[in-house]
Amino acid sequence: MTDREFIHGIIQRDNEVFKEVVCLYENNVIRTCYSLVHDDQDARDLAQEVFIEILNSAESFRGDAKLSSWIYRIAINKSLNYVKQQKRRQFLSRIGLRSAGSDEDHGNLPADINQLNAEEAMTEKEIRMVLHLALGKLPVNQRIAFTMCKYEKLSYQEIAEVMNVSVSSVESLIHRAKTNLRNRLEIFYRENL
Amino acid sequence: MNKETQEKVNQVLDYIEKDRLLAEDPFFSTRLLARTEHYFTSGQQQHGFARFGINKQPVLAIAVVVLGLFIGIFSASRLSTVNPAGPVAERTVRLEQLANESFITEINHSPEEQFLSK
Repeated sequence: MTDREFIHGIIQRDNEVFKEVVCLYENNVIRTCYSLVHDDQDARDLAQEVFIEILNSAESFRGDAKLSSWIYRIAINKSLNYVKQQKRRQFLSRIGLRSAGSDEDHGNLPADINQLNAEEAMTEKEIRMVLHLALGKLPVNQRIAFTMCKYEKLSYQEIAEVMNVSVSSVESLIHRAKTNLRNRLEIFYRENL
Repeated sequence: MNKETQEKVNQVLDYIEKDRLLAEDPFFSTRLLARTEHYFTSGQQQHGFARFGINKQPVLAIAVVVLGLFIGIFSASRLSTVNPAGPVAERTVRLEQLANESFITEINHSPEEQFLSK
């Protein structure tokens, strides 16, 4: 089935076509959301929203990009909006407008990588926490390019299509992301080991 | 950078490979399809009037009333018009001729006519 046939089927409210799209892209969408929100359950909830958005806005798909790129873009936008909301919530809870331990806060993640104790960062869970905090500190474009490359294993060409930038920009973004990430981690471990 | 720091940094960066492997969620599509069921059960309606945010039933009701009125007015106007070429017109013309003939006959045999003809 081609991208156009998929989109036509979704516009026509063909349940079987939609199931096929879900089956094809479910893991990619969940992983993309997870790479940006860093919470398994939140990523799954967001992925559901992504597929609902696909149903709602299938008619706006112009066909000038691949269906997968369009789906990735929706997943990225949803995830970044979610992260923004989370940051606002954390900020409000920090200044006392919300209760600090509310259900919507996620675990006991420190707000900043520097608040972590290096001695604690030994187990797998803690390594994950350090990784997610360091990724979360990257500028948005670098974060998207890096996670699309490392989590989704997309080629530079595919990332360029998703981000609507040139391949050389993607190369540059990924290079800077790697450097930034390494620097942040080095500073953190140098100060805390 | 000392060796220990380097190891830690590499450990974290290598963890990405593990982090990207998410557990399968066997209920993901079931949950999603349950949430989106209404998109497919009312698919035609959504694709038609609902696409413009209009409910289908009142529009159809108004359309039926307008169509009924149009048919009624059209039929009534058609029935009230005498078509010169139609069978009704032919009968009317024939009756008119008979009436005229009868009138002339009656005139010819009237007492006044008989008196004048004398």
